[in-house]
Amino acid sequence: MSQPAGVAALRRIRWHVLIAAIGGLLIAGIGSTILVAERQYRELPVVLAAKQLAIATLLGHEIEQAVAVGIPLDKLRGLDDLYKEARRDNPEIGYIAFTDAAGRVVATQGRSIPPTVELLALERTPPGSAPRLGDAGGFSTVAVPVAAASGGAAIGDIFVGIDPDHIRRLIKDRLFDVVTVLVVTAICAVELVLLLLDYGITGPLRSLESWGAEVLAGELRPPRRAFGFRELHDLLRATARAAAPPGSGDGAKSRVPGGGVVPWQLMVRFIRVGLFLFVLGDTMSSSFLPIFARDLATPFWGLTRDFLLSLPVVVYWLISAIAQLFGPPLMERYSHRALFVAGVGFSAAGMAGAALAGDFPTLLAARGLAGLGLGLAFMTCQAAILTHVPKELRTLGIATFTGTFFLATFCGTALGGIAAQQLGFRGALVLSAAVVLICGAFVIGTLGGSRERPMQKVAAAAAGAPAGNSYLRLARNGSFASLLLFCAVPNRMFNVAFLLYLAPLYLFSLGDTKAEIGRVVSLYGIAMAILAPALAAQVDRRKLQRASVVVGSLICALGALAVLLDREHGILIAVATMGIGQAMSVPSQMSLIPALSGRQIANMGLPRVMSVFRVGERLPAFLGPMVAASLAGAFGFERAIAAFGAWVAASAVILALVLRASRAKQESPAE
Amino acid sequence: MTPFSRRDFHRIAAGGAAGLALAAAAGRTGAARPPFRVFMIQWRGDTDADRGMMDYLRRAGVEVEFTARDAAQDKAKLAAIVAEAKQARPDLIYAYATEAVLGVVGPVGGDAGRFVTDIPVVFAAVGDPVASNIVPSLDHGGRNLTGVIHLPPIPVQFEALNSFFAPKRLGLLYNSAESYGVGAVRQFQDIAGKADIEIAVETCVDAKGEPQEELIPPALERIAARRPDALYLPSTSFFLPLARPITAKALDLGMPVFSPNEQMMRQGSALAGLVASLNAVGEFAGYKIEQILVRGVAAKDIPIEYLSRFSLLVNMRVARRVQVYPPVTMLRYAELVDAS
Repeated sequence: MSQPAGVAALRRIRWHVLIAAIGGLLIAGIGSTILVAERQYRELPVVLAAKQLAIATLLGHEIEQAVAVGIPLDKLRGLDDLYKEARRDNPEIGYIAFTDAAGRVVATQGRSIPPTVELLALERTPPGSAPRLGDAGGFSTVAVPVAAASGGAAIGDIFVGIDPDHIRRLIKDRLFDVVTVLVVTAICAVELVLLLLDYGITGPLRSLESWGAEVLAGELRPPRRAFGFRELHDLLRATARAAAPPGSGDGAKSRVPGGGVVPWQLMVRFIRVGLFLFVLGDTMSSSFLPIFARDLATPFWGLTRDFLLSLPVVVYWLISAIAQLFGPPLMERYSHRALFVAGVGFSAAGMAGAALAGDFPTLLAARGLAGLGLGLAFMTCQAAILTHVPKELRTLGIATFTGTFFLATFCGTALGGIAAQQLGFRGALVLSAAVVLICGAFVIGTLGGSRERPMQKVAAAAAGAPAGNSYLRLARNGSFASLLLFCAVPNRMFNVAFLLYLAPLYLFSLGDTKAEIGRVVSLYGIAMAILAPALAAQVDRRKLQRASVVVGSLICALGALAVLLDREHGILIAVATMGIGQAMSVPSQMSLIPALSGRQIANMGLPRVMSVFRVGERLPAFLGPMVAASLAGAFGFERAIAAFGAWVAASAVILALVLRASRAKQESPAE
Repeated sequence: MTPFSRRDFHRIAAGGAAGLALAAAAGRTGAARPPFRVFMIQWRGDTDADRGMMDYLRRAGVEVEFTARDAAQDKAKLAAIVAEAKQARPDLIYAYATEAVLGVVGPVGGDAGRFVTDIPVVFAAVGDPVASNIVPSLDHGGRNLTGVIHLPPIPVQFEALNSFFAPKRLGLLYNSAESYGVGAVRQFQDIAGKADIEIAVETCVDAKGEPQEELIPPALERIAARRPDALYLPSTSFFLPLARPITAKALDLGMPVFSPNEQMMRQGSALAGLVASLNAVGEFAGYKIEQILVRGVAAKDIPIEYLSRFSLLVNMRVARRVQVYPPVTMLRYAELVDAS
C-alpha cells in the first residue's frame, strides 16, 4: 500500500530527528564510558593500594599490641582467624602473610601464597609513606614492617596481596553497569524522543493532513482545534470560515465517524509510553525479590523455608491472573484510563508496601497488591492498543505491545539490579513505586482523549453475549486445549519459576552480585524485545506458526538442560535460550488461536477466546515457583531447572503430534 | 443579665490558676510519705551488688530505709532472718545470692506458710533461677518476685572458654550442695559433649552433702590426673573466699582456670573468665526496686533479666606463667589484669 507523500515525509523527519538525538546520546555515552573505564583502570589500583596499606598496618598493630602485653611471637594464636576475617571483609585481598624477623613464615591465609623468597625480596613500605607495591606470585603486594613498640626492634613483616582476578571482575562489573545504564538510557531516550515528536509534530501534522484530504474531497470546514501549531490552526480555521458557504459553521465535526482530536498513532504512542513506564517500575524488583524475601522470611503455619520463599512470586502471579478474569466486564464498565490508573495505584501501593514491609505476611500482601496492579494494567494496555489500532494493523499492534513489554522488562530488571546494589532492596522498591507513579501521572494526562467507549459499545452490540456452553465447547476443542496445555502453560510456568525464582536464587548461591543477577535475568527481556517482532513478521509471512510454537518450546527446553553441563555459563545459556525460544513461540501462539478455534471465535468473538487463553495460561503460572521451590529443595537448583526443561520438551513433542493430526484432519477431503 | 466581660474572664482564670497551684502544692505536701522500707538479706556480707543497688536508688531520689541482715552462708541463720522479715512487713525484700533467695521465697510449689509470698522480692546475683527452682521459667510463673541474673548464660561462657583454650579435655570442679552448680554443670556437660570435649567432673561435698574446703585439693588432683587443658569453676559462693588457694592449687597442678567470678581473676590466679560487674547487677536490681516501689508495677510483671554486657577478664600474670595466651582477636575486647 503506497503511503501519502505527507506521511512519508513525516516518517523521514522522525527518523532524522531520532538518529540525530540517539546518535548524539550514544556518542556522548560511549565517550563517558571510555572515560569512566580509563579512570577506573587508572584510579582503582591507587585506591586499592591505599586500602591495602591501611589493612596491613592495622594487622601489624594487632601483632604489636599482642607482643606489647607480653605474648611471645611464637605463642601468638588466632592469626589465621584474624586474616580470614580481613579477607572476608575485603574480598579483593588475595592473600595475607606474616613472617618473623628471621624471615620464617608465621601465619598465612589466602587463595595461594607466593613463595617466601619472593615475599622477602619485596621492598618494605616504611610507616607514614605511600604504599610501595611489588609483585609476588602474580599478586600486587604491599609489605609493611612490624616493630615491637614504636621505634622498637623489628618483629617481622606483614604482606597483603591484591587478587588480580577480583580487580578485573570489579572493573568489568562497573563497566557492565555503565553500559547497562547507557543502553537503558538510549532506550528511554528513544521512547521520549518519539513521544515528543509524535506529540509536537507528527500528531498535529497528521490532523492537518486529514483535514487537507477532506478539503480536497470537497468538505470545506474549519480544521478541528487540536494541539501544537496553534497559530497555523487558527489561520486555517479563519480561512476555512471565510471560504465556507454561510451557515455551515463547525457542524461538520459530527460527520466525522469516530472522529477524535488525537490521531490513533499518537494515542498508541501514549499507551506505549504508559506501558513502558509501568513495566519498567514493576520489573525493577524482579531480580532481587526472592533474595529480599529471604531476609524477611520467618517460618509460619509449618511451611518449609523454600516454599515460603516462593510465595511472594506465587501471590503476585496468582492475583495478576485472577484480576484478568474480570477483564471483559470491567472493560465494559470503566474507561481505559480509569482501569490503568487503578492498576498504577495498586502497583505503587504494592511497591511501597514491600519497601516498608517489616515481616513476611506484609510483604505477601504488598506483592498481592502489585499483582493486582499488573493484572489491571496489562489487560488494559492490550485492550487499549487493539481498540485504537485500525483492524488491518492489529499484528503491528500486538508486536508493539509485546516489544514494549519486553523492552521495559529488560530495562526494569537491569536498572533494578543496579538500584538494589546502590540503594539497597528497600530503596530500589521505593524507586520502582516512584516510576509507577510517574506512569500514573502520564496516563492521567494523556489517555483522556481515548475513544474506546463508543467503539466498545459498537463492538459489544455487534458481538452479543456468548451462550453459556460456548466456553465448554472451546474447552473441548482439542487443538485449542493442546496449545494451551502443552505450550502456553508449560512455557509460562517455566518462565515464572525460572526468571523470578530459580535463576536469581541460584545465581545468588553462586556468589553473583545483585547487579550481575539483574544483568543475566534481563537477557530474557532483551532477547524477547529484539527477536519477537522480527521473528513474528517472518513467521507470519511464511505461515510457520505451528512449527514456530514447537521449535520455540524445544529451544527453550534444551537451553534449560545446559545447567546440568556447566554451572557457570549454563544459567546464562538457559536465560538466553528461553528468550530466543519464547520469542518464537509466544507471538505464534496468539496467531494460531484464530486458525485453531474458528468456530468458537465465530460464536464468542475473538476477544473472549483470547481472554480465555490468556487467563488459562497465566492462572496456573503461580504454581511455577511452588513447584520450583519443592524441586530445588529436594534435588538442587540445577536439577529443578532441568526438570522444567524436560517437561517443556515433552509437552512440545505432544503438541507437535496433536497439531500434525489436526492439520491432517483439516486437509482430509472427507472433512 | 450582665454580660461576661474579658476582664471578668481574666480574673476568674487567674483565680482558678492560683487555686490550682495551691491545691497542687498542698497535694504534694499531703503526699509526702515516710521512706520506703526495704529488708536486705545478704548471703556473704556487703557486696558490690548491694552497694550498686543502694547507689542507684539514692541517685533516683527514692527515699529508702534499709534493714540489712547477713546470713553469712548459714542456712539456719537465714531461716531466722526470713522470720524477722515476715514480721517486719517491709515494702520490699531484697535478697542476694541463690541460697538467700530460696530461703526467702522457697522453691516453686513450696509451703506458702513457711516462705514470703505477700511481699515483693527483688533478687540480685542469682546464676540460674530456673535451674535453682526459684521460678519455673524466666517469665516467673506468677511469683511475686523479679531480679537480675548475674552470670552469663552457660552457652556463652562455654563459647568464650572454647575460643580461649580450644580444649580437647576439660576439668570441672563444683559445689553440688548449691542448686546453681548442679544445673550449670548439667548444661555445661551437654554443650561440651556436643563439641566432642571430654570432661572430668569432681565435687567437694562430704557424705552429708556439705561442701568442705579440705576436699578441694584432692578433687583437683583427681581432675589433674586426667590432664585437662583447663579447669572450669562454675559460680558458687562457697568458692569465692577460697579464690586464692583453689586457683593457686590448680595452677600448681598445671591447670589454668576459667571462671565467671571476677574475684577469681582479680584476687586469685584464675587465667580468664567471662564476668558481669556486680555493681552493674546491683544497679539493675535497684531499677527494678524503683519500678515496684515508686511506679507501682507488680513484681511478677517485671522480667527477670540477664545483664546485656559482660567482660572477658584475662590475668596476664597467670598467662605468662602457664604460657597460655589469648588469641590475638580476643585482645580487642578483653580486659587485661596485670598486663605489664
